[in-house]
Amino acid sequence: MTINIVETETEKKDISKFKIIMKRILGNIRFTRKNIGWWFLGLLLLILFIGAIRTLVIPGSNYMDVLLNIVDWFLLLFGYSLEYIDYRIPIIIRGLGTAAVLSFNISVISVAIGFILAALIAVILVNKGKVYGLKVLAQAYVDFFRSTPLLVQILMVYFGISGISLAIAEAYNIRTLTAIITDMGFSYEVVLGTLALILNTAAYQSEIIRAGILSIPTGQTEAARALGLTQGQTMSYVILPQTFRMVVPPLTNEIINVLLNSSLLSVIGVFELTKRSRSLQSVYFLWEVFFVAAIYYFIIAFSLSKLTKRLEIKLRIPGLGVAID
Amino acid sequence: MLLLTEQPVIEVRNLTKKFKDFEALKTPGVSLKVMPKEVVVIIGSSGSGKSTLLRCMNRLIEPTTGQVFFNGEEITTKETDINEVRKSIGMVFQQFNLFMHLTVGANIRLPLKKVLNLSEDEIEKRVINVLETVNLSEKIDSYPGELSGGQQQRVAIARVFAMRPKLIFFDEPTSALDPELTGEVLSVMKKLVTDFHYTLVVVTHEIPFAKELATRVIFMDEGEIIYRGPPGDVFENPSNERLKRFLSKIIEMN
Repeated sequence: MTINIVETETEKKDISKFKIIMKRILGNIRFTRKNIGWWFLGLLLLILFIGAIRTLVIPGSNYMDVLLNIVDWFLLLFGYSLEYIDYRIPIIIRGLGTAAVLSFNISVISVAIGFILAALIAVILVNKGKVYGLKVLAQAYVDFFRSTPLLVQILMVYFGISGISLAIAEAYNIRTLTAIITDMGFSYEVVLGTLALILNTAAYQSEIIRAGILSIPTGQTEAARALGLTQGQTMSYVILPQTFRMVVPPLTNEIINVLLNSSLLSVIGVFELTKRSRSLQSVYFLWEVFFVAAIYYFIIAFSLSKLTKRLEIKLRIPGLGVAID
Repeated sequence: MLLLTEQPVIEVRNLTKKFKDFEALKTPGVSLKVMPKEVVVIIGSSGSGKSTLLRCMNRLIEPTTGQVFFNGEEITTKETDINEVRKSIGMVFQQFNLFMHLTVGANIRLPLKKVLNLSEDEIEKRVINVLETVNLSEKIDSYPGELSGGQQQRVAIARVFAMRPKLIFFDEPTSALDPELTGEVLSVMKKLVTDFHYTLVVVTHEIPFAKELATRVIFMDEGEIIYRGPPGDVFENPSNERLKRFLSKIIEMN
């Protein structure tokens, strides 16, 4: 306030203008329960950004060095010396990075294919038609995969299909499934593990979609049928488009579930995040490996949930009750 | 007005409907003939089977026994392609039932494209035409959720009207609307009768509308037709005791 005395009128105006602009910007920055994840994600991106700039300034440095430094400081709290840990952390973070990509790919493919399967099953289950065998089959499938542990399902699919394909190969003197998949350039464990996840998530998603279909008012079906649309047309042009908008929030849950459940694939030797962190831990004896793995899971799950939130708002139908904010 | 040689648009013979523990249309069944260009108004208290009768006539509800003839052909046989029949029978509902995820224009286009398989040009022409008829041309890109109840119901009528059906059923078209919105819907319905000479079967409690436009009024109670006659006969000097009681209740309400 004392400086103000010497300032001219115009300078005063400029300063107050600046103050107002700053207030407007800072006023919008809040740290609340709702946006805490954004802060976290933003911080990580900022660290990576600083790292990226550092690689330009200091040739030969890694863009994750800043992150590594922070992890180092974090480790100092637990009594490690810097020289002792420095060389291992980059390997851990990079190794887990590739594993995280694999985890992400497996879960996204599982959810996508599982969704198509689930939509089919849900339509079969709500159909009033008399294709009885099909309905019983679909119901049995859903009941089985919802009432048994995923871990058991993974083991069953992996060893079951391996065993059966081996027996068939021996009986008919043809190549085994393992050889065929490996020749196609895929990892055998990854393919069968993904298959198990697909079968599991399809059962859960089919129930979500079925509930979504049932939540559409019967008047919609009535109106469509009264206009002369067939049962199939009513489903595909009237009911399902509305259902898919209704089931985005519960499906987000399922996507995150699948991502987190994909850690179970470690038992059949798929080198995804969990398996990778276990093997790294057994080499370096650093518990922090799991902390880094958890951060990777968090980044993927959180970004997915934010992405589907956007989708939900974008797909919202006026007058049809989905999220409002 | 009615010639003996003329064929009824829709004819119902001894129609009964039994739900699990409830006889919506009682034996020996309901019989009804609707001639071309007739406006038949069905009145009756709730639960009297009016809506069930209407829905049985285009088989949204399968009747238990009895027959329905459309243009002289039975449509209650197993061989009937009911979707083919429904092309010529429109239906407007109490709850409007517009497709919430489609715009007003898309709501009208969908059945024209998927049911009637019209060309794009013809579809566009009809959409613009029917929206003009119901005075909602400017709402073509709005979603049903953004419209008032009266506007939604007018769109629902436009959607049916665009199909150019032979016959339109109205299932309490104004019951879900505020009193000040019923007028706009009724005036559109009036337009259908006076300008386009449509055949209508209307379930309604709007006595003034029935008085003005109905050629015949049918009173239903507890699953059977109790009384039928021209509107003057029904409303001015009802000879039936139950009809009298019903009318006095309706008048009291208004």
